[in-house]
Amino acid sequence: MSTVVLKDVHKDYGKVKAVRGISFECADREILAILGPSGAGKTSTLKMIAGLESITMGEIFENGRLVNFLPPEKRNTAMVFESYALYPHLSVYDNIAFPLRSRSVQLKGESIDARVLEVADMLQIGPLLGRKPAELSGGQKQRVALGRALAKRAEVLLLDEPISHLDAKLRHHMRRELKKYQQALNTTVIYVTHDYLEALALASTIVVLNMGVIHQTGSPGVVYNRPADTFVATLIGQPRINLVPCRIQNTSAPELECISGDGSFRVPCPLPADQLPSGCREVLVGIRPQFLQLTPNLDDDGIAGEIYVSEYMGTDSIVEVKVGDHLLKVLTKEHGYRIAQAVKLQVLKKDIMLFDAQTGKNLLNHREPDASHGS
Amino acid sequence: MKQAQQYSSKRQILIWLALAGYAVFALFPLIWVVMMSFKSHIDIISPIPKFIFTPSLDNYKAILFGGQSTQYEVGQTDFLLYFKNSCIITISAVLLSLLAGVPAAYALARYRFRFKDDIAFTFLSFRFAPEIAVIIPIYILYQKLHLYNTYVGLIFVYQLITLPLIVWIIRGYFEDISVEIEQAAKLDGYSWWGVFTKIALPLVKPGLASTAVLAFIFAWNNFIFGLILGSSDTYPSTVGTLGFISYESVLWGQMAAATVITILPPLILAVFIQKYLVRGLTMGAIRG
Repeated sequence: MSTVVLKDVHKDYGKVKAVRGISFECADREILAILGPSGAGKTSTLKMIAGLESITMGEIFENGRLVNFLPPEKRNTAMVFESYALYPHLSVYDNIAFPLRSRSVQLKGESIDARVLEVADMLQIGPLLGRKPAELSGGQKQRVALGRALAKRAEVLLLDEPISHLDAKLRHHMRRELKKYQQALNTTVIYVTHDYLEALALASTIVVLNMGVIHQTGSPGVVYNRPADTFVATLIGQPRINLVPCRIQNTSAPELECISGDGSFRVPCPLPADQLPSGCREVLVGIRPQFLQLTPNLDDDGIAGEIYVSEYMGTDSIVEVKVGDHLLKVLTKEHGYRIAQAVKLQVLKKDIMLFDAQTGKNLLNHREPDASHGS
Repeated sequence: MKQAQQYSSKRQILIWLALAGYAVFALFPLIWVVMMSFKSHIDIISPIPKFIFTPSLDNYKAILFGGQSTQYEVGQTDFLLYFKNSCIITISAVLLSLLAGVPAAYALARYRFRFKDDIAFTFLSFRFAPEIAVIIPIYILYQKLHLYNTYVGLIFVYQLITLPLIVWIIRGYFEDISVEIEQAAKLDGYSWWGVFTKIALPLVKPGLASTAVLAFIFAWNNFIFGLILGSSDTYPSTVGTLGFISYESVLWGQMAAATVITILPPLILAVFIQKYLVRGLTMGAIRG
């Protein structure tokens, strides 16, 4: 049983406010991902949970116990650092055995040996046990760092960008492995990353952090399909979501009109007239690239545009379509569009997101989620 | 290409010659002293300097075992006592500096506290003033505290030489250790003492050895503290060498032999750790 709860936690470094009042709960045995760009305060948050950084204000509870003033060696947490932080003077074996020899674990000779070999076996680093960290590759170091954290069998495992320095292939492999270990070991994991794919693939809860403030907390499905604001919407998803400034036309069936350059185009408004926020005329329309349908048939309905550039990606192509002054990204499986070719773009009403132009807040979030989006 | 090579080999020769010339210039006094230590008194005082002579070990025998030299009567010299004094004072001073300086260096490298930079600067400032400038007040102080002519007193005053060196260089080594490595050790269940002894100290061990040797050399070569604050019981061998100058005569040969023996310990140490010494100095210097 182990939960982690943060209540209005602040962290100041002198005048710099790294974390400004964040609260979230990490349930027992779940993977919670803290997602954000660099400088968001992710690592500071993690180090406060570990007890390595003091807390300027707020409270952190582990298992319902207030741990604000508990030194790191007395907390039941283990951490994998972004830099791996292996002990350079110790062999891989001694690195993994190091936490087991501490006063808080105090295992004796044979049981240490058994535990190290068990971890080494699981992570397939058995042949490396005699080496020093300097003789390991990045992927191997990462495994050893993970092994050291797992050996302690802490109730809470903190991972700081554990796989972001590996090459793409190994990263995908380790992502799967991590999920497997977590299920096998039944631990609570808090995972810091700047890669939305890692967060979506691994976590059951995602906390989106930027400039020390939480933008959204939710399951991967919710964060992806119903982003709280434009920041979350642009952070998650590749290619990036299209954001187009539009005006609300108050007709019987309200429409969104985007005036750009010498023309304008209209898309259906996902909100009925009576639910439109009063006074809010200017909005940002968000459409993910895969929800835009591209058709070369100019007789179809839709937004007229012309192909600006097309990138062939194998199964998909990323096509940029010029509509008035705007460039809209489209993810399509049909290849062979020529530059400057005239096309039409279609979008379904349910795939349109609406953001407040001033605050960036999602205007649809008070609605029930569409069944088709799931979560 | 060929021209460039010729040019560079010509250049090489010039550089080599210049370095050889400097080596002779720098080493000549040393070579002369070594030669002198093997000469007889007649050869030493010969008006035309002699490079070819019959070497003898008489001077060494005289200072190590006492007894008679061929020309002059020599009493029992105290050189062995002085040499022992040097060993006791220097080794103790270095050990005391390590004991006090390594934790201080760690604190200066890792913790934030008030007046931290002032304290670090104070340590360094011990090396600013020439020793001769502070020796009179220290002399008076030592007289009053009964530290004059004691090992303890000399070991204490030698801290002015060894402590700043150890604090500043070792601090650089500690700063080179990634903070996250120590944080990892804390999370692995170790208190600050465990982190210090099991992680930080082993990681600075190579630096520690070279810095200790460096401090040893500086302390061993010191002259003024021993001269003023010591007396015939506690003179280090640097000062003891002066004893060969007496009212009636100067025992050049024995003085040279004493000098040669005195420079041996630092020389041997320096040769052993030469490789680490340069690295240790630059590493500490860059970060300090």
